[in-house]
Amino acid sequence: MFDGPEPIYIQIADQIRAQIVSGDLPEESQVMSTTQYATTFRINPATAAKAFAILVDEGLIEKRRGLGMFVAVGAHDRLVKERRDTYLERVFRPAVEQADLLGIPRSELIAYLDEHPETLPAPRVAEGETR
Amino acid sequence: MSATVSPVTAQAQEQRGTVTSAYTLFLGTWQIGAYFWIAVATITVAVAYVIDRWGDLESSTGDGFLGSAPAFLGVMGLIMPPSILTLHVVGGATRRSLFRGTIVAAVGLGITFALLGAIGMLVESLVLDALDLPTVTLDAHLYDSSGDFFGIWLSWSLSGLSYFLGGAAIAFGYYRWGALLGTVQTIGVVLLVLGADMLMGGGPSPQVLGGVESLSAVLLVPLSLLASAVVALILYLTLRDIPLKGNPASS
Amino acid sequence: MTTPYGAELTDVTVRYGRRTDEAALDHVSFTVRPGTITGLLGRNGAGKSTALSLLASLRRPTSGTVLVNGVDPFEDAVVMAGVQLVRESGDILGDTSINETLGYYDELRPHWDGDYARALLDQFDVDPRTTPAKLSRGKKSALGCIVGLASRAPLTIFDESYLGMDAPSRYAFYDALLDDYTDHPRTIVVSSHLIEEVERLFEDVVMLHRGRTLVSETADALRNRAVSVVGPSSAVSKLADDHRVLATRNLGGTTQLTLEGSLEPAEIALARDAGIEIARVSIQDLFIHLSQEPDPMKEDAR
Repeated sequence: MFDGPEPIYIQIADQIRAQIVSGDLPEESQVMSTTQYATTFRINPATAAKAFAILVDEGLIEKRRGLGMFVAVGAHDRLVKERRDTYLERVFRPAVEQADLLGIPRSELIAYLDEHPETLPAPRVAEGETR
Repeated sequence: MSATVSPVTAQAQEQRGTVTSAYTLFLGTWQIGAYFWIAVATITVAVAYVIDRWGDLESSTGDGFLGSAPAFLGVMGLIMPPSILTLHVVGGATRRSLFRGTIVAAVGLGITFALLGAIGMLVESLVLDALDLPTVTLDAHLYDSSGDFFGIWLSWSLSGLSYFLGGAAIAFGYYRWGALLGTVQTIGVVLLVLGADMLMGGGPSPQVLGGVESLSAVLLVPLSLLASAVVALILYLTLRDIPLKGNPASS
Repeated sequence: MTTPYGAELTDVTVRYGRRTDEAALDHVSFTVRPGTITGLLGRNGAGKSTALSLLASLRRPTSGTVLVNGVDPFEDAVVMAGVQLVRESGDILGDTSINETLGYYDELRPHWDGDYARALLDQFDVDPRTTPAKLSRGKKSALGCIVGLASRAPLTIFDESYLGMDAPSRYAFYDALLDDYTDHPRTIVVSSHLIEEVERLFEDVVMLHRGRTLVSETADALRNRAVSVVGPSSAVSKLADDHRVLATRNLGGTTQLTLEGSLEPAEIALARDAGIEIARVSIQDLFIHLSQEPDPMKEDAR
């Protein structure tokens, strides 16, 4: 856990974002407390608190006084939209560039996409946002 | 300065340290002291019996054996206070409070050990009287018979106090100053403690101060207390900022 | 509730012997921020225990200033009552029952939690009726840790105190420490050379080396001091042009470098394209690199 090059709190924030996107942390569900996070992963509570502070700033999770942290309404859709907006640039372009480098023709890439059906049965996105 | 409003006050904390160390020293010494009393009481009776059986019992035997209680307190003074020094300071109490606790324990031990000794002497005097044997004690300045309850109690209390403090001052002296200066301190303390003891008619050569026998208790008691006070001062100067030995495991 | 204590050493020197003996601490300065878990790292003989014994008022420095909660802690009844040092030797009454030792702490410590101490004794399987002298090294260490936790002191210091414990017990201790730390916030200083196990617990890190301060900063800042890159040797060596190389390891055509500083976003992108894997350098590795350099801080130390 958390062996990436970024600081641990960034990795924790990334992990929670990923869980929100995947639906593992549905909207309005409770997020582990700082304490639980710290003791579960044996990290400094301040590190976990820093990660939560980032997510609260971004409006992805919210503090409910006396109750704990919860995934904000709309957090999932917002993250999905953001990631979609940058997907081609961030993920797909490097893949294509790598293919170019290796001399894999575009036709082969297109054929690959055609042969591989979508992994999820239906996209988990609010209606009207599909392109 | 910190703006913390702490519920812990210095006075309460010093008191905790004093009471805890005094209590521990007092109780620990008595726990071992119980064996001491069993031993000296047995010896007192056995020696009296042997002398009476094969010779003439001419004086109290308890004065010598029960009367070694102050010397026993000297040994305990060497052992006990140093044994709790580290725990005391690491436990968050000041050296000051350990000094005070040692004084309180020394006074308490001096008085209670002397009390038990005086009771033992009283019993001896009753038994010897009943057997028509002499109860006379030699050399002592504040009493002259084993039935002299208060004289014995006072005399042994004062000696016990100075012995316990002396033991502590010697042990901490070596701990703090090392072999050479520790020995210098020991010589000074031994002179003071034996001086205090000789005022009471005890010590290695009571005859040396035999002349003071003519002095009244009004003078002997404060002089003995003065000697103990000087020993206490030496103890204080040794203990007040004593550096604790490091962890033997690492640096 | 008590306020966690901060601590500060300023230009502190400690000499044990007389005259010309090498100083155990040589003009050391560092800060322990209140409420943090601070790691104190250093090789054997670096001066860790000496520095910690100053915070716990076991001795006075030869020169320099020691502050705990803003005041000189030495013989300050209130501050000393709020500092608990746990040493590996354990500070215990060896020949009487553990109950008596714990009783002594209970009497002296204003925030001692006896119920918590009993629960921990149970958890670590230490029988309070035996004498500490009869305990195994592991159990003795555990006893020290129990004292440290149950004292709830605003500044609690563990000086290599859990090294005698086996791995499962050590992890149980880390868990108990984190649990209790979040429930009862205080300042905790942990000195250890088992850095890998504990480095994520640290918010701040102080490193001592040969009696001098090597590092006194947040763990995040420290981790940013170096980065590890692994990949094709040619590509990796290009990255090395703009960074000081702390360590090199060749594995056939692949090279692993530890570079000083952190990489720019542009460098990261470039590196990824070249198939270079970027990883963080653990505090353990940083510690090894930093403490192997002859005396990196010597010039700025004075």
